[in-house]
Amino acid sequence: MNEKGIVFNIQRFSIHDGPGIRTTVFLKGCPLRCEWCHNPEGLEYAPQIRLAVNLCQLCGRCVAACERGCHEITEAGHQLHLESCVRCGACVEACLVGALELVGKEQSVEEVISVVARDKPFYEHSGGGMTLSGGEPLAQYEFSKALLGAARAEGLHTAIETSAMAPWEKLEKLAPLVDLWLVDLKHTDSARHKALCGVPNELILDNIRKLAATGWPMVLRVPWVPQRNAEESFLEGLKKFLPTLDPVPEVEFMLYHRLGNGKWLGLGGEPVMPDDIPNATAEDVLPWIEQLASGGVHSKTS
Amino acid sequence: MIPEASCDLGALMEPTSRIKRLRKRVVEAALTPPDSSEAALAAARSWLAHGGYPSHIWRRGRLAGDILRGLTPVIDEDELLVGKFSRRPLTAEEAEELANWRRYGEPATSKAYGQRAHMAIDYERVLREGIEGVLSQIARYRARLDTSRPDQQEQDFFYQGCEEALKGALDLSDKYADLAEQQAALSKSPRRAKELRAIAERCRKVPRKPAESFTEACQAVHFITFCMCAGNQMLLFQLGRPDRYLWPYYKRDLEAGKLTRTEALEYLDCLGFLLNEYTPRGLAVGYMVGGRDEWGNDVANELTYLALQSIHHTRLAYPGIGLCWTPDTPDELLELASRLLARGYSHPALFGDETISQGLARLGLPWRDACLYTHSTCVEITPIAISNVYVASPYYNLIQCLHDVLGVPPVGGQPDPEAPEIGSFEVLFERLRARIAQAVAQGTAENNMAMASRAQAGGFPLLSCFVNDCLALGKDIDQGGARANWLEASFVGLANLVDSLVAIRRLVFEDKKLTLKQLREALVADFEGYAEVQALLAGQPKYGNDEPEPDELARELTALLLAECEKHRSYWGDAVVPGFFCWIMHEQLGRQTLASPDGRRCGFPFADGSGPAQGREAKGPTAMVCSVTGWEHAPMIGGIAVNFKFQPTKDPDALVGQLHPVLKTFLAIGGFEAQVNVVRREELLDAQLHPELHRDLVVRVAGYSDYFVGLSPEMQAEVLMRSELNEG
Repeated sequence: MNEKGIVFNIQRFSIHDGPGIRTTVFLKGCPLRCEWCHNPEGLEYAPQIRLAVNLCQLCGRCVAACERGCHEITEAGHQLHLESCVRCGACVEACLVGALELVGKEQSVEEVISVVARDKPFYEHSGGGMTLSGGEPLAQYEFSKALLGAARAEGLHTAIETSAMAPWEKLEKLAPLVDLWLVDLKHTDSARHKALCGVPNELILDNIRKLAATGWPMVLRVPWVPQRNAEESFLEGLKKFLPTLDPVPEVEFMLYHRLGNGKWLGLGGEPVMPDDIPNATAEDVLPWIEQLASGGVHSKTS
Repeated sequence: MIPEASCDLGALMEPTSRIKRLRKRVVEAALTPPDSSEAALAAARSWLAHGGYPSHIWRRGRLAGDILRGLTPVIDEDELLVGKFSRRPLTAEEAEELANWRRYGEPATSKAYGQRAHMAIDYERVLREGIEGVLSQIARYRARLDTSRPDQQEQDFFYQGCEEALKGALDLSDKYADLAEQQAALSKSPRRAKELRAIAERCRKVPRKPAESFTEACQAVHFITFCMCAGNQMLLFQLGRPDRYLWPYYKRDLEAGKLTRTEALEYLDCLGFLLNEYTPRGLAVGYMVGGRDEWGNDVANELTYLALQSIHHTRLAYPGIGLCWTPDTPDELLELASRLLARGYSHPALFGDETISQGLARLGLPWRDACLYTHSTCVEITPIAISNVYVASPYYNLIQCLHDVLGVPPVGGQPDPEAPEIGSFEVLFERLRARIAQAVAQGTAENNMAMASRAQAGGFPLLSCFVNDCLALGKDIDQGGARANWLEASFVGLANLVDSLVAIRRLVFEDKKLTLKQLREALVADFEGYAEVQALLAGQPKYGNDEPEPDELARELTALLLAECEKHRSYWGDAVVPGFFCWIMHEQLGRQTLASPDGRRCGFPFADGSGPAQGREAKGPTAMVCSVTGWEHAPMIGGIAVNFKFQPTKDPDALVGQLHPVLKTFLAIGGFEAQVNVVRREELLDAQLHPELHRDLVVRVAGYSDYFVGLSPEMQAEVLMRSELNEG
């Protein structure tokens, strides 16, 4: 219980990350850099400043509090210059309305689990539990392992949402503590994967194969992003790759939405995805579902 | 249960064409309020005709009878149950007669102060004995009296008053039978003529005699309820527990093949429509279903399901149906309730049966009575068939109690010239306790005065016939004849008070970022020129987020309020019981109250019920439930209301998976009452304009859920766009 990790959110009443009502623990840091990331605050390992633009009253207290000129109030609003930010938190202290926040906090297993366990009766009535997400939980492997162990000791259902970008040994060691694997698959072609997500995918595909072969409960989650991975080569790749898994896991398409874009601004960055890429719809994905079905693979949209 | 494989009572049933037509008419009729001037005229004539009679109780019984006799019966097309106010306008002479009475006569009659109605009568007795049965019981009681003794002479007056009132109800029922026969003779539709003849037959029989079929029972229940409203000149009679008292009739008729489920449901729908026809908007009338009986059995039966199904058919303000949940309540039933709520219907409300029965037993009710209760209108609990409970009597403004301690006047008042010296939080808390104690003593005194005045000059013999033990004791309900005579107090603004105290403790006494003087100035100025003070106050931990500091204070405060109530007795020697709901008073009292130390602006409504204040629930429904169940609900029989807000989904049934476990958990861990709001687009729009009021609005973003006001403007626009699609 003394293990510590960097947590950027503990979201109670999560209902999309596994069965029932869940508490999702978001761990900071991710080895991937997917263009469409909708949790950009989870990418970096270290805590960072975030601004809720619409809560900011433009009072300028943060400007005065910051010794490094990270904040500026102009006619265009609150400008962030976080290149030189050392995460001292002085601006957060100074903000009266809670518009500034230090995203990511070092927390012990005990601290996290004490929050997670608060909703035990809700898990019992809904078949829910705890989900680890991020960022990439495997990037904080020891902490994740300790959290899962502690949740297990509390008798909770556990799930982990991961890119599977980690040595197989780590996944294998976590397995006895995980009731449900939610594994992302972003492209089957390694070069395209590297272009879109910053890393090649051999390790990921290999881990997915092994995970499937163990028979551990798993859902493959496929983000479907127009003008990015929603391309013929990925569909063809899926048609080839999925039937080789034994057994074939459940496949869920995650529809791209632009809602992650605004988050980049609050972190002092610019969204990577251009604004003109439309949201994906269930209809868009239908042909993929049908084609996979004709190859005997069942899939659905989330 | 009666097996019928083809019937899935958990799936929504569509209304019949009759019900669709009736609903259309009821919705149109709702635009014009019910008109009871005919009843007022009959009352005027009765007062004048019988003013000289020696007993005011008798006069009041006669008054009820005369009013009922003075009503013009009306039966509209498609109706199966009858009894309502006619919309007959008074003639010019009648109007003048009534105006003269109101000017010269009425001021001299005795006024009934205090609570009216807010109860359910003894429907089992109505069905089992009929009015004739009650009349012969009265005759037996009268035969025993020695009227040469003054006290028994009083009782005899009361009994005679009861007889007068009941005879009026019988006469009105006969009038309805006559009208139905006339309409049957004139009807061009053989089918409607047959229905009308059946209506006539029912009106001749019930409520005069015991009911023998489901349809007779429904007519008897509705008709006697209408008579209560019209004859007693009071509204807000609840229908009690129809899935209990109608059950034997339903079961028998269904088994004998005399009734189908669809027909039974039509009758329940009609009951609901009629409530809408004669109850003005803004009040609350309904009934309860489910719960446990006195032997510990879960009541849920087919009628419980049908009652919920009728919500889908009526979709109106009334009846407000409460579903009482026990750990043995079938999951399908709670699921059906969730399915209705997911559609945005505001009913049913869910009540924690074990919590409430336990609370009633603590008040000394025998277990049988503790298992047979109803919400008296909103959530205030009152036992069925024995109640003279004054609910929401009165509403207390908790924030003004705190303001009085701080020297902050009500809206329009002058602040004390000097801020009081308060050296520590403990001193402040003790002064607050003393101020609350004073308020409770005063509120109790006012209501006891109302009860006393009613004992002298009130009297409702018609009502007393069906409230135990009035007949057995020969005492009117206003003379202490009922078995339960509590005063239920309702404390408004609990969340605001908790949040205010947390803010004061931290900012004034711990961190010393503010002085009490500065705080008082900021409150009186409604934060004009004190934006930072308001922001500081708003930034403190808030009740409703499963945080130890506010939740601990909520425990202390609720215990304190209970203890203050327990120091007092009602006029009839019964308990004074706290509650924490507000009806519309959070708005009214909020309007009279200056800005408060929780950051609330002057005039803004207090928290709506017993949950967190508006927009302060920032960690979702599970954390909210942990907070609001952090203090004990069972003793707060005066009523607790917790609002749950959910974002509508494209497919309403998809929301059931969220609603069902949250509601079930809340009830299972001791929650008193839950009501559900499914958030609509308008609220999203308002949330953009006033994000501070909507911090609790959770939206599905995709892959995760987030708080709407925390989203960037662009993201909000996206969500809004999607919500348009959702609702299109």
